[in-house]
Amino acid sequence: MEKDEWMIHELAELAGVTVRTIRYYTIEGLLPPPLMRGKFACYTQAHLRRLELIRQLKDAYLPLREIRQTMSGLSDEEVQERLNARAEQIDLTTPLPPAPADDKSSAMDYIARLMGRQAELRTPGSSSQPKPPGLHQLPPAVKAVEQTWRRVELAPGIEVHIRQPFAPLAPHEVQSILNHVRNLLQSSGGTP
Amino acid sequence: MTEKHLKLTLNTDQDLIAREVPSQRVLEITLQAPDSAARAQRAALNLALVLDRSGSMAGEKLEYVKQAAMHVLDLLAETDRVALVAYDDEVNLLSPSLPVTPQNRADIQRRIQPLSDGGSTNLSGGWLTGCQEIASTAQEGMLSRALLLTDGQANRGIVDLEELAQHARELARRGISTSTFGVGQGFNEHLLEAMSNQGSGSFYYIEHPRQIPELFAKEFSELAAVTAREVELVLDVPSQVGVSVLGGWRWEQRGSKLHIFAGSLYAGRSQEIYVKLLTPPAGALEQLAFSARVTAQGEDGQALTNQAEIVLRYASQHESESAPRRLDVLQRYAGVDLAETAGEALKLERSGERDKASRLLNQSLQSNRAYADKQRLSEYENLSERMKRGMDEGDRKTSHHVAYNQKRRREP
Repeated sequence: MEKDEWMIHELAELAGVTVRTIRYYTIEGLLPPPLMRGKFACYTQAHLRRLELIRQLKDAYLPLREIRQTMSGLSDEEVQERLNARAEQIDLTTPLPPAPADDKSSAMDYIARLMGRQAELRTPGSSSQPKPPGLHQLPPAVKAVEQTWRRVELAPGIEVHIRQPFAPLAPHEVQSILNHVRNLLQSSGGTP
Repeated sequence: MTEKHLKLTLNTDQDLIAREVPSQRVLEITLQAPDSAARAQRAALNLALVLDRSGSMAGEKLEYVKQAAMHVLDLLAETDRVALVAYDDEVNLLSPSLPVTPQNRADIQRRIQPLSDGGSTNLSGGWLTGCQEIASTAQEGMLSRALLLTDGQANRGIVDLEELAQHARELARRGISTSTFGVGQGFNEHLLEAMSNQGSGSFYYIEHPRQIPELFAKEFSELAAVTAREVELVLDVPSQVGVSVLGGWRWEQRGSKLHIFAGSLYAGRSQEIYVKLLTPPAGALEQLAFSARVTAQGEDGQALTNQAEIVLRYASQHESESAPRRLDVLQRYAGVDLAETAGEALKLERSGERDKASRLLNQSLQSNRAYADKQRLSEYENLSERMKRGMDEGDRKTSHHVAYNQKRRREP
């Protein structure tokens, strides 16, 4: 049972937000309306906890629309659970995003990881090309696996194809080899 | 006289805050990039042109895009690099990142000419391929940026606004910025704005295809005049002070430090950034000091830095409320605050919540009425009315773009 009840300005002070913000959240449906005690509007622990969760979601750069969707589906108990879960998370890990990386290879790794993941998520499409007839056809149980290739033109007329993701080498290693070849081509008199 | 320093000025609407209750103050941060040294060359550019060639680009649009890409190539010098990517549902790397020698320029231009329109819009694939090219060739001292042009909704690859903005943010942190160009009526202005805001670049709305070359040239001339890049401002925020940054800048709070990433600034350009402050009651304190430090890379990659401080003094509530406020700061702030809210309201309007959109904007009109420019107020009042009735795509995009420029304090 919640015993504490506050006026709007008391709640604002406790939660570290403005009265305007509370009114705005109420209009927006992020907060349930206050309880009416006669002509006074009262706010409870449940409101305070919701405000805290909203703050955390905002800190995570979630847009208001998404916060509203999240909040509207949560019971008071679930709000509490989420706050508890978050508190544990913050205890265990640093609350900050990973430290900014200075080396440029990390941009390469970031993109390669992203593209690799996309390739994984992409459902293997049915090939529109009929398979050539052959003696060594694969048993029908084995599905055709879609592959993603990165095509890099090193100089006009010279291309390298690299399967994505490419496990034997890290993306920046592949890149430094490509750069090296590119430089060789350029220093040996430009385009063939 | 040429200004060699990156200038930093802090200003508030009023230097007194109330002892007894929380006070809301406006902090105006003004950054000004140094002038270009007369003999110095501009920073080398490392660009990727990422061009939409989905079916909807057919005809006039694609022709103008080609023309714009040709033009950008003409403007680049041998010290620059450029990669060329075209995407529909598939991504074609038309040219890897190459130095813009006369030979390469001619080769790349030859690849632009036969470009023809294709299928759906794999915006993320095209963009990431462009970024990958830039990342693979990035060198110290180069300004790396992907120029992403589209006329449609992202409907292949990664399509979620928040996710794309997050990746733009991560890549900007790794030195690769993104500017976005939306053509016509079919694209999502909120997606493209979010990508450029988080990507430390600019967003352009191209209402008519014939403006494509002009706006590419504008982006290029801004890039060519950049004298401070990777501009990062760190503000020390006293404990219990609430902060919120207006204008859509990439920012984050780490402990007591507020980091704001202002991207690239070109010579002579001032950029104001507004931070709303909510100060706590005094307790035992006499004053609150806000010190800021800005760091950036200059034209030749040298480190630029500057600092400034501003002190808010506690006074009785009566004294702080009756003291005069700086009208010029409040006027500029009111314009930015209105534009920021208008952007949010336009998102609501687009999602069908017309009344809410209009109500949100009206609240902001109410609170900014005392200081905002009369003309501006009536324009936004008018917008609020149109929101209530529902807007067409053209009006949405034009209104969004006006608000975008106003909240970033960019020249239209």
